Amino acid sequence: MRTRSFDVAVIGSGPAGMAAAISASDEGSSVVIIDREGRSGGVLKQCVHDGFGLERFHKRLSGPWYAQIESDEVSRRPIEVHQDTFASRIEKTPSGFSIFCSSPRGFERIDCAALIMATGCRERTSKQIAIHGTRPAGIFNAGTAQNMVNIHGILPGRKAVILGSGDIGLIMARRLSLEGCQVIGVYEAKSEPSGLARNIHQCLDDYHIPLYLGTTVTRCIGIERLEAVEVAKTDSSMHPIAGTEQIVSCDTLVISVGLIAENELIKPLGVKMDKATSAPVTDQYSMTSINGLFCTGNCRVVFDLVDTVSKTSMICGRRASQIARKASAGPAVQVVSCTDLAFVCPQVIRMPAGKVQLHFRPKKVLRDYMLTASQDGKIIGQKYYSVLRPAQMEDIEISADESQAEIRLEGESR
Amino acid sequence: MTFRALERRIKSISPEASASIIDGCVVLKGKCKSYSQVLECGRLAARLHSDGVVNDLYVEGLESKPMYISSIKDEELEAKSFDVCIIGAGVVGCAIAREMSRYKLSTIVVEKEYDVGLRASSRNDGMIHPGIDLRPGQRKTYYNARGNRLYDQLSKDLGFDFVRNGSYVVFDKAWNWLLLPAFIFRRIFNPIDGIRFYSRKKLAKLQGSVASWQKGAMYLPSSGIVCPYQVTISLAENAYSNGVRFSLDTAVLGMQSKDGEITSISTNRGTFKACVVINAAGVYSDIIAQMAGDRFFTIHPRKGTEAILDKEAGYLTSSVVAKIPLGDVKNHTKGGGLVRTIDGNLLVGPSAEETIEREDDSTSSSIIASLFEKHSRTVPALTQRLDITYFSGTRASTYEEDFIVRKGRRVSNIVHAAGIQSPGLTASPAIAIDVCRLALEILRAQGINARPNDSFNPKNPQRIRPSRLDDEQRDALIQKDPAYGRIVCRCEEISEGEIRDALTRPLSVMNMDSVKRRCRVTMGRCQGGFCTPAAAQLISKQAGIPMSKVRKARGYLALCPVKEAQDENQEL
Ligand SMILES: Cc1cc2nc3c(=O)[nH]c(=O)nc-3n(C[C@H](O)[C@H](O)[C@H](O)COP(=O)(O)OP(=O)(O)OC[C@H]3O[C@@H](n4cnc5c(N)ncnc54)[C@H](O)[C@@H]3O)c2cc1C
Ligand SMILES: Cc1cc2nc3c(=O)[nH]c(=O)nc-3n(C[C@H](O)[C@H](O)[C@H](O)COP(=O)(O)OP(=O)(O)OC[C@H]3O[C@@H](n4cnc5c(N)ncnc54)[C@H](O)[C@@H]3O)c2cc1C
Repeated sequence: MRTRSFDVAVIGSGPAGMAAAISASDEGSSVVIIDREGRSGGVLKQCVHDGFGLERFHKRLSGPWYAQIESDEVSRRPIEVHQDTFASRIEKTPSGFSIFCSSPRGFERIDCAALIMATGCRERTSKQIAIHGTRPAGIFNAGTAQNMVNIHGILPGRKAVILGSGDIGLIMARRLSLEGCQVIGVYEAKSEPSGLARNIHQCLDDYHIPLYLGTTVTRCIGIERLEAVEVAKTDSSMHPIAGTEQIVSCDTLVISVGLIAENELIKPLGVKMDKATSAPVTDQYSMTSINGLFCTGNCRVVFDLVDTVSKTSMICGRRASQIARKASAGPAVQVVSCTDLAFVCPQVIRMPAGKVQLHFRPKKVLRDYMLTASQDGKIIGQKYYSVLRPAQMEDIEISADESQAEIRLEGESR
Repeated sequence: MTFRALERRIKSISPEASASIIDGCVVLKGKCKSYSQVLECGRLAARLHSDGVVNDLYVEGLESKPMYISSIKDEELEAKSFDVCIIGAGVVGCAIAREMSRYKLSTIVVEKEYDVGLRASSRNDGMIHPGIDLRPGQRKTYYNARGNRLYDQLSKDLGFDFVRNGSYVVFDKAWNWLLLPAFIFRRIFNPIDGIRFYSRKKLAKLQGSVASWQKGAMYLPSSGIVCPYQVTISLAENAYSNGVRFSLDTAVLGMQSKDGEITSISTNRGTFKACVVINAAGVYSDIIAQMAGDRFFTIHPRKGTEAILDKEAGYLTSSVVAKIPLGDVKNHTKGGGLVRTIDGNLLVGPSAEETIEREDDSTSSSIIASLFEKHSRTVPALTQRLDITYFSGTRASTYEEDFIVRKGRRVSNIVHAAGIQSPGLTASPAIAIDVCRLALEILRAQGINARPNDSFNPKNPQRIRPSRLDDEQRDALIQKDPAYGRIVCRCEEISEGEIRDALTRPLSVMNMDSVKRRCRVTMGRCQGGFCTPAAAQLISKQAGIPMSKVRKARGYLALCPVKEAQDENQEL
């Protein structure tokens, strides 16, 4: 069995993995990227729509274009890229980590001092949101449908219902109707759309696709292929209301109901998890509770914009390189969120920190809101938001230097 | 009960219903107000000692959906002739097919679905039952005990996974211990190997996830688990390799007979002859008996729903944890519980609901919720959050609540393996041996002396699972064949080589779900979110068809190439 050794190993060559590898390499480390697929870019490869890179490059790039810019940067550096290589298992060693990988070249071990997980996320499935009824062909996750249309050139169906108004659902509504599939409507169990306002305009309004809020799909009907779905109105806790059921005929159901961070590989190492993000607790450098183990990109927290993924992953790569060369991690202080917020990331701050961005989402729409971060009673950051929506990730900058006391977030609507 | 008493009681349930004895069977005719009345009458009739209950009671306006028949229509089997025709390729039909393949006979299995093992045989718990809850003297008990013991050798020969991981029957009330003598007594007639009793303390030590207030347990080491469709597919593959013909997408629609003998069988793929017909049609076995003119029993379908949890929940038990099935005895279920599956997931269920539908696989959220509620009383840490999927299956129960394994009553060339409800998976290898013997007797009576098949090979080609090898072996395998190194399904870690094997093994079927059941691709926590397109591409390559023509279960995965849809829109 072949064994190789690097300062830093990165699993995943989506935007997060590539950005982390680039900055780790620039910091002087030997770096390897491992990716399961034959091409770099992660999920961006199948996102042929534009809207990527607005913040970073001030241009509206397509996903593959954005990925190309990054992978060109990777190839300009002495970074080894192992494609078609699947990380099967990770073990902790005295000097770092061992990754056991399967590829057409064999089963091999890669040792590293610091390990960056950039494995992205997977979609929630129809079963996880309790869609019942029969199991005909024609039920897809949005990402699967996107892959079929954009990579393989096959259309999942001719008459589709879309469940979930997140950005991926909205983008797929437009994509499918452009490709000749009639989109009957986008159904959303919440009373507010989950996607960005600009996507509602550009993907639904411009194509006359109706959006049904407070409505969900409860049942699939069909023996060979999907023939119809049952939809029902929902109450405030998103449960279907009996008696409001309606049958909508369609041959395809596209489900876009949320993403789950993929961290199955490192859970057995005993990494500390955050219930709010269902992902590891990380510091401002994306390091987990295990020294030398990092988790960045969408497997750390589901970001809205790839630009933020790249930015936070660069910080991660630099730090991983330092930790690989035995830099000390520094004492950690806890960030204590407030009840209005669904999560805050990072969950801990290593001191001394200087200026740090905290990312968060509100649980519900909040207007005229002031968020304050304090430590030992001293205000270390404050920001005013005219409106906060769960659909949009926000941030607040804090500066934390001296105190070892926990950082508290407090907010109020004015 | 006397017949008079039965008549009276039937009338009191439904004045428009009547009972009669025809040719040794109790025949119920007329109308009921509800389906539960139909069931009640049927159960009463079974208490009368007769040759069987034919329950033709109906409820106005209540009709079950027609049987699913593939849309394929051709003359594939027209005017052909076979020694043996097995109807139904569930675990029972496939086990019989394998037994028959030990003889030099032309045997055909006809199955209405696109693959083998799609009905009850892929929709169950996968438990190889110890048989503790079965009454001595029943055929269920007899075949279960024998079937259970055959599994070790069968799994070695056919290469399917089988583990005797034992099961705990938990006592939730202190007085349950009073049943001890009953269990011990039962063992005299119904031998169960290695049974042990554990105190509350010992139970807590062995199964930490069980609620601490439980009062102890009975442990049955002979209880095992398998993947039920892997078993069915393995049996079919072996039968096929030994010369049995399988005709899939083929539904038996009628039979012609003369002088108490079936002369021909009609299907959507032609009408053909067979010297012996074997009825292994599961929930439709009474309909097949009717077609043959040999109906003496009635199937009343009983649906069971199960939830499958993420492997993460596997820590809850590595065995089976069930409650003592007291309240369930009258429902003829095993009460269900938590079953660690052979692949490391956890199964919760099954429920038991009487239904008029013979093949309604739909699930509902209320049933799933009730399963979690019920079983979290035994294992408090059980949570619905880890549920990755759910399914339901239908048991082929008769009113006698026992298996039927016998020659026809009025038809000379049929053998019934009917009413095979739970524990039919466990019992099937033993049932197959007897059915094969009965079929050979019928053939002999017709002057056909079947000789042993000298080239019979009891073994299947080996299944290669790289992720189960140790690191060095795995590396060596990939060096020889790089396809075993390219991982397609990330959740289950299935390589391109394994998908290729699933598509080239004996009796392979070019369908997304067939490949899934043969190698577990798309079966993990993302449920095919990532690997569906890649697996479809491999099927399309292997089958030489465009990706848009790849089937998923009974339908098409996708509906057309993007280009085609665009062109059509342009024309509009
Ligand atoms: C369908 C969809 C549409 C989107 N649309 C937009 C949009 O319009 N605008 C926008 O700004 N953002 C969009 N996003 C979000 C954006 O694409 C993501 O934020 C970004 O791709 C996340 O990057 P990542 O590197 O964390 O993960 P990914 O891009 O998912 O990369 C993860 C990589 O890790 C690899 N990997 C995982 N496990 C293993 C393993 N065990 N071994 C080896 N390799 C492994 C995977 O193959 C993959 O290449 C979209 C996301 C999705 C899913
Ligand atoms: C929820 C549930 C849990 C269970 N758990 C267990 C367990 O843990 N252990 C155990 O031992 N048993 C268990 N059982 C019982 C076991 O699953 C069945 O006894 C067994 O699968 C029956 O096999 P079969 O071949 O008779 O039926 P099936 O698998 O239903 O096969 C019958 C076949 O006949 C075909 N067919 C029907 N009519 C026609 C026709 N006209 N023409 C052509 N083909 C036809 C059908 O398509 C089907 O494939 C369980 C059952 C259920 C429902």
